[in-house]
Parts: sequence; structure tokens; C-alpha cells
Amino acid sequence: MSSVALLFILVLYMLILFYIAYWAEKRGHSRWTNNPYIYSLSLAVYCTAWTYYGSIGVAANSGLNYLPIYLGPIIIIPTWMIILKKIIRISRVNKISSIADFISLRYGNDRFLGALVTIVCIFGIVPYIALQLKSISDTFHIVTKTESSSNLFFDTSTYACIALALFASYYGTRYVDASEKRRGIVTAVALESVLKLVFFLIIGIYVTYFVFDGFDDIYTKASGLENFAEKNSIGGLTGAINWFFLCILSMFAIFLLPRQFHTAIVENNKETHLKTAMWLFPLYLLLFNIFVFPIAWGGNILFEGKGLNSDTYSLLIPQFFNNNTLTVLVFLGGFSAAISMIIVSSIALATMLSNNLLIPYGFVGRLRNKSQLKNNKRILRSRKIGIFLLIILAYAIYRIFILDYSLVSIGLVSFVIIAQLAPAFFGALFWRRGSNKGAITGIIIGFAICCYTLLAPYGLGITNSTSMFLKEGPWGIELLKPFQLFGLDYLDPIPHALFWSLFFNVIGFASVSVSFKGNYRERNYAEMFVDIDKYITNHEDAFVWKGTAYVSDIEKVLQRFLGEERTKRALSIFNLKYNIDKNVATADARFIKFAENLLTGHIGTASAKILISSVVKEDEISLPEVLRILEESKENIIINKKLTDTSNELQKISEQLKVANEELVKKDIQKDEFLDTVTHELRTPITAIRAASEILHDDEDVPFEVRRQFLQNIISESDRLNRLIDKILDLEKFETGKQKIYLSRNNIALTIEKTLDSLKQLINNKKIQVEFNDVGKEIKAFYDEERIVQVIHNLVSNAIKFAAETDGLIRIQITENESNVAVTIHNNGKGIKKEDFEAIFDKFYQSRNQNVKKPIGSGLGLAICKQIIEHHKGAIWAENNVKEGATFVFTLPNYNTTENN
Amino acid sequence: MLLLLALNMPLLLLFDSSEPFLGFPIVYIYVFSIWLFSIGITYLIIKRYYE
Repeated sequence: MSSVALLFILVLYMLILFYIAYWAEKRGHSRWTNNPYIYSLSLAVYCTAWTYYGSIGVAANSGLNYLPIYLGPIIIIPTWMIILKKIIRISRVNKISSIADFISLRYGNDRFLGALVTIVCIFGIVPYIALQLKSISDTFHIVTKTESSSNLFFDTSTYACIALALFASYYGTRYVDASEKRRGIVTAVALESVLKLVFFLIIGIYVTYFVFDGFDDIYTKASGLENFAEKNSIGGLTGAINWFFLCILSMFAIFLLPRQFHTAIVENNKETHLKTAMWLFPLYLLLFNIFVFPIAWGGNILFEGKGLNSDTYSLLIPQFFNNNTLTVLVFLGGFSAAISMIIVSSIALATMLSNNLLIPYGFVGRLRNKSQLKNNKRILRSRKIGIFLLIILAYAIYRIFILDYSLVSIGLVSFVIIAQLAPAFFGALFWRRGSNKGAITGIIIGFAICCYTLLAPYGLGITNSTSMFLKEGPWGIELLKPFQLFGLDYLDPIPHALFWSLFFNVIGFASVSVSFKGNYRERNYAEMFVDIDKYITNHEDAFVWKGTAYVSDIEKVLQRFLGEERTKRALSIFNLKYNIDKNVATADARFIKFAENLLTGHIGTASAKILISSVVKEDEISLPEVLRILEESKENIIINKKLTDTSNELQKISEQLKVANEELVKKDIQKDEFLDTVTHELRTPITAIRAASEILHDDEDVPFEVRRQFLQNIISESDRLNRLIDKILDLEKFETGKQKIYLSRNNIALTIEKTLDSLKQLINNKKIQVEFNDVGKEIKAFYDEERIVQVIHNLVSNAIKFAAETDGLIRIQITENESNVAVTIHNNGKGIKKEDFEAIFDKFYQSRNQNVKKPIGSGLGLAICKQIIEHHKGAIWAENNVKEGATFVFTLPNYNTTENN
Repeated sequence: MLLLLALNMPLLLLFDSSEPFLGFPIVYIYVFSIWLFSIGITYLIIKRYYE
């Protein structure tokens, strides 16, 4: 394929990416750009050209060793829910925008530490970017079948690199606030992640199933090759130790690489996105690794002995079979992998460079008196130039140093350098005593050892076998040989360097931290980092600060970076949050912290501190005092929490009280109603008695017959009064629980017979036919006979009362099942309306509906029946299952079950 | 922690063999299945306890 055509495709591809980034940026808050899948896929920026091409090279040349790079993350990802969530929270509340910010803020917001971390990162990452450029350039030449030109200006990769640098510097610096989310870039990276995976899977399937005949075929053919068995096993104990160190290395890398920190933490919108990432990202890595083995060994089979670069098998194989489309697709996949890494890394590095190195050491003083517009322009320009220069520097490194190295070896060197941040980083999260001096010591020692054991040999050239330095050590001292330091000779160079550098790094960090006291500010941030969950809502409270400061001074500083409008808005939010009057002139600790946070995104933590402290006067606080204040604020937080808990409880109780009160009011109304009806009920017979006695008293001439009638009335009304009072008393006893029930074993059929006997007179009077077929049967139940007689008496008398005037019929049935005995009493009267089914068991229900006519009965009977049956743990209800008439059913627990209880 | 053990010495060495299984050397099969297994477990735990 010609260079021009390929360049054209590349430009087109870049334009599409550019457009997507632009589109996503505009719709920054839509569902499409703001979801857990985009987040998870953007994490796949971990898979660079190194994964895409380099893994195959390793698998082909030295077997399994490409795997630990992915196994490290796999091992640590299940703990993300704890560790990464903590980091995300810390970063969010402190507006942290890079790993340098993170580490330097924790160790007392130290300018020097931030700069040190930045320098380490630049040493680690710039060669890594160079590696990506190398892969782009190498593969470009393979696809176009051209030789790379030694003249910079004729080499197309130079121009590709410049274009890339421009793209990154334009798109990476849209916001002055570096902690702002860049949806455009993230979406583009996520899309590229999909593309590189898809293209890689396509070539994998192509090689496995089209070039060869499935996995088995490759295995059979490959197993004949030289060293096959050796290369596809770990290689005994030594191999396993190397493997272990590589796992540890990549475990650190997934947290510490600036691009991973950027995508996983700075660009995290919601903590919940982690949940998806925790399974999707490992799955992505798994898919990426499945076809490495077949492609690598397929390539080994095809190109055995030709001395080709095994890194590029995925391009060489389709090219070998003249499949141009596939070659270009694979090339685009690799290109995607490379540029997403380059862009994200260079943005992250440039932010660090400006916020942690250039601004705090360079022009923070000059920013102080300029207007907001000028300041922002200046900051952005510094980042733009930073990104551009970093990429060009990487290109230079590529041209000068690493033309000959394989992709993986350079990548691993970067990993080891970055891993030097691990003790300080993880110490920041879990160890309160870790101090600034300790962190600085550890990083410097570790980095120095890295330089000695890795950077220096690589710089000199490891292939340069004449180098005495490598073979015999400096000045011929064997113990100091860079690859076998102190005689440690069974580790490969990378694990070897990792082991020694981390060993001394940790020792340095721990011993210095323990031996020297840190200053109060460090201890303050240590508390905030380690206990972030406690301070997450009001983290400004955790900031300890003493001195004099005026809101207006700080406001002026803020305006220079945020502009007038945003400053005002931020201030009013702050005042609202802490309920502070806006006219208060002096600033407290919370305000200082708040202002520092606002500036942090723009100019980094260290410069924010410098700027703010230039307008306030801080009093020195001793360490014990800080600890005391922290203790107090911790106590305050606990007390606050307790208070909220108590107030919540109080609220609950008051709600319960409210409900109880409503119930009481209801009961009160019911009581009034009850009294009303009772008085009414009592008054009716009394009125009748009074009227009759009055007549008898006043009029002596009443004829005997009438007098007798009146006296008879008086007697029956008094009886009625008596019964009524009895019933009311009965009911009252049941309702207040004073009524005792004496359970004994009884025969329900017998009880019914007895009751019917006592009612014989009434039944005969009304000429009613009673149907009761269970006479003489023995159906046992457990009950208080006297009370049940009362119930049956009541129900049957009701039935008699309401049975049809002519041909009245009452049917009584007993049914028995496992749990209870049911008695059904049916009459053929006019029946009960369905809506009355419940209400008829209420007190005085009947009288309320019949108070025009003279009531038949007291209206308390059914209410009493209900009470009695319920005291027996049974149920009573009315039904209309037969066409005519009314049916009452009550149940009593069956003898057996009752006895068991 | 379990994963750290499963994917390193000495358990890994148990499967240190290039004999084929389904067209892959056994050690690959072992690593990939642990990998897949860990994804499954993570997914289940996340669904069950962090919803």
C-alpha cells in the first residue's frame, strides 16, 4: 500500500475521532457520554500498542511472560470497591487532578514532593510515549513496505507525530480547571478501545480459523518448533519468582500510571460506575489476551527462521496472504491503541507539569496581579506547549535511543519507574504516620536505584556487549553489576530492578517516617485521607488552620482565576452550606480550605496554597495542638452523628405519637357515640315506664283492664331495661378484658340441642320449622359452654325474629375440619345487605338504622357474640350464599388442636 | 488475596506444563479459567451486595 493512501486513511480516521470528541464534548451530560460502559472502556487505555503488538512479540519469543502484566490488575481489581472508591472520594473533595497532586497534598501539600513526583512520572512516561510512536512508525513502514528514513524530514512518521501532538494539545486543554471532566476525550478513548479490541479479535479469528485450522492445528504444528515446551511454561521456581514480581509491578501500574489515574479517578463521574468497571474491564482484558497465543505461534510457524520482528506478526500474517484490507484494519487498531495512550498520558503529564512544576516554581508570583483572562490564557498556553513538547520529546527519544528495543522491554522500564510512587501512594491511604520526608527519601532512593539498574544500562545500550559497566560492574566491582546487584543473579533485569528499588524505597520511606516527626499540616491531611469516609460530606471541617484572614482578600485572589461571577456563586454556595452570614469579614479554616480547593484545579495544590497563604496570616500550630483539634473535630463529628440519630429517633417517636393521638381521638368520638346511643336506648324503656306510671298515678279512674295493661308494660319495659344493662355490662367486661372464659371439653351438638330446647316456646309461637340433623352426634370442641349457649341463643333468636312470617325455616349445620368446627345458622327471612356484613357486629348498629320504629332487640347481641367468639380464638361472620335469607357462621378451634395448644 | 495465591507460586507451578488441552497449553487454560472465574465472582458479589 502506498504511503499517501495510508496517510489519507489515517487523516480520515483522525477526523472522525476529532468529530466524535467534539460531539461528545457538546453533549457532556447526555446518557451517551456519561455511562458506566464509557467509563469502563476508557480504562482500557491500559492496553496500548504494547498490548496490541508487544504481547505477541513476547508470546512468540519468550512465551508466557506477557500475561503477568494483565494478571496484576486482575488480582487487585476485586478490591477496587474499597481502595479505588477511597481514592476517588479523596480526589473529588480535594479537586485533585493528577497523581502528583494526590501524593503532594497528602504529605502536607508540599511543593517539592509534587515536583518530584512529576519528574519521576516524566522519566517513566515519556519513553513510554516514545514506544507508542515507535510502534506507529514501525507498523506504518510495514504496511507501506517502505524503509524508515534516517532523515527526519523525509520520514512520514515525523509528520504523523506532529499532527498527533497538535491534536492532543488542542483537545486536552479545553478547560483551565484540570479537575474538570473531559467528556470528549474520554468518549473518543472509549471508542478507540472498542475498535482496537474488535480489530484484534478479527485478526485473531482470521489467523486461527482461516490461515490455520483452529487452535488444535496451531498447537500441533507449533509443538514441533524449537523450544516450544520451554517457552510455554513458567520455567520452574526462578520463572515463578520473576512472574510474581511482574504481577506486583502491574498491580501498581493500574493505580499509578498517570493515564490510569486520570481515566479511573479524575474522569470518574459517579462512584457507581465502578461497579460495572469491576467486571467489564477484566473481561475486556481477557478477550484481548485469548488470541495472543495463536497469533504468536501462528506467526512463528509461518515465519520460522526468517528473522522478522515478532512484534508485528499481526500485520505480517495478513500481508503474507495479500489481504490488504485486514492489514490496514489491524494497523488502525494499533494506531488507536497508541494514540489513546499518547493523548491521555500527555494530558495527564502536561497538567502535572504545569500545576506541580512550572506554576509553583515558575510564574505563580506573576499570576498574582494579572486579570482572570490573562491568567487563564497563560495557564492554558503552558499546558498546550507542555503537551506538544512532551510528544516531541518522546519522538526525539524514540529516534535517538530506542530504535532497537522491543516494545515490551521499554514499557516495563516505565512501569518500574512509576512503581517508585507506590509506597508513598498506598502509605497515603492507609498509614497515618507516613511523612513528607519519608516519602521524598523513599522516592529519591528508589528512583536512583532504577536509574542505576535500568535507565543507565538501557541508555548505554544493553546490546552493546563490550560495555564493561554491564559485564563486570563499575570499576570492576562485581557486587555492583547493574543487572545482578549485590549478587542477586537469578532475576531478570526488570524484576531485579523492581525488587531492589522497592526494597530500599520502602525501607527509606518507613524508617524516615518513623524517626522524624512530620509537621502539623501533614498530620492534618493524613487524617483527612485515611478517614475520608468520615469527612466526605463536610470535609472543610477537617482542615486545621489558625490565624487571621479576611474574606475580601481571598475573594480578590479567587476572582483572578475564576472570574467575578463564578467567585460570587462559589461564595454563596459556601455560605449556604455552612450557614454563615455573608457579611462576616474574617475567614475561618473552612473558608481557607474551600478557597484552596477552588484554585487547586486551576493551578495545582501547591500553588493554591502559596497564593492563599500570601494574603492571609497563619499562626504556627504545634503538632500536639493539631492532634487535639483533630480529635475534637472527630468527636464533634461523632456527636453530630449521634445528634442526628437522636433527632431521627425523636421524629420517629413523635410520628408514632401522632398516630396514637389520632387513634385516641377516633376512640373518643366512638365513645361519645356509644354514650349517645346507650342513653337513647335507656331512655326509651324509661320513657315508656314513666308515661305508664304517670297515667296510673294521675288518673284514678283508669279502667282495670287498661291499668293491668299498663302495669304489664311497666314490667316488660323494666325487664328490657335490665337486659340492656346486663348486656352493656357484659360487653364492657369483654372489651376491657375483665371477662374470663372457662374452657372445657364440650359437645357442640349437645349445646345446640340444649339451647334449642330453651327456645322451644318462641319457635312454636311463630310456627317455625327448625332443621337440625346432627342431634346426638358427638362433635367435640373446647369452649365455655355458658358463653357459647349465649351466642347460639342470640343467633337463633335473631333467626326466629327475622325468619319468614309464614313457613319460617331455620337450618342449623355443624361442619368439622382439621383446624376448626363451624356452626352455620340459616333462616329464610329477608336477608342482610352485603354492605352491612361488617357493620352488623357493631354496637347498636340495628337501632341506628331503625330508630324510627320501635327496635326489636337491644342491638348489642351480635357485638357480644363477636367478642365471645373472638375470645375463643374463633371467627364469626355473615354470608348470603343461599338465595333467600341470612346465614351466620361461627367457628371454634377444633378439639384436637386446642388440646395440643 | 486468593487471586494472588491462585495466579502465583506455588499453585501456578502445579499447572506448569505445555501439554495441550483444547488446543492450548494447560497453563494458559488454567490462567484463563481463573481469570474468567474471578470476573464471575466479582460480578455476582457486586450484584448481590452493592445494589
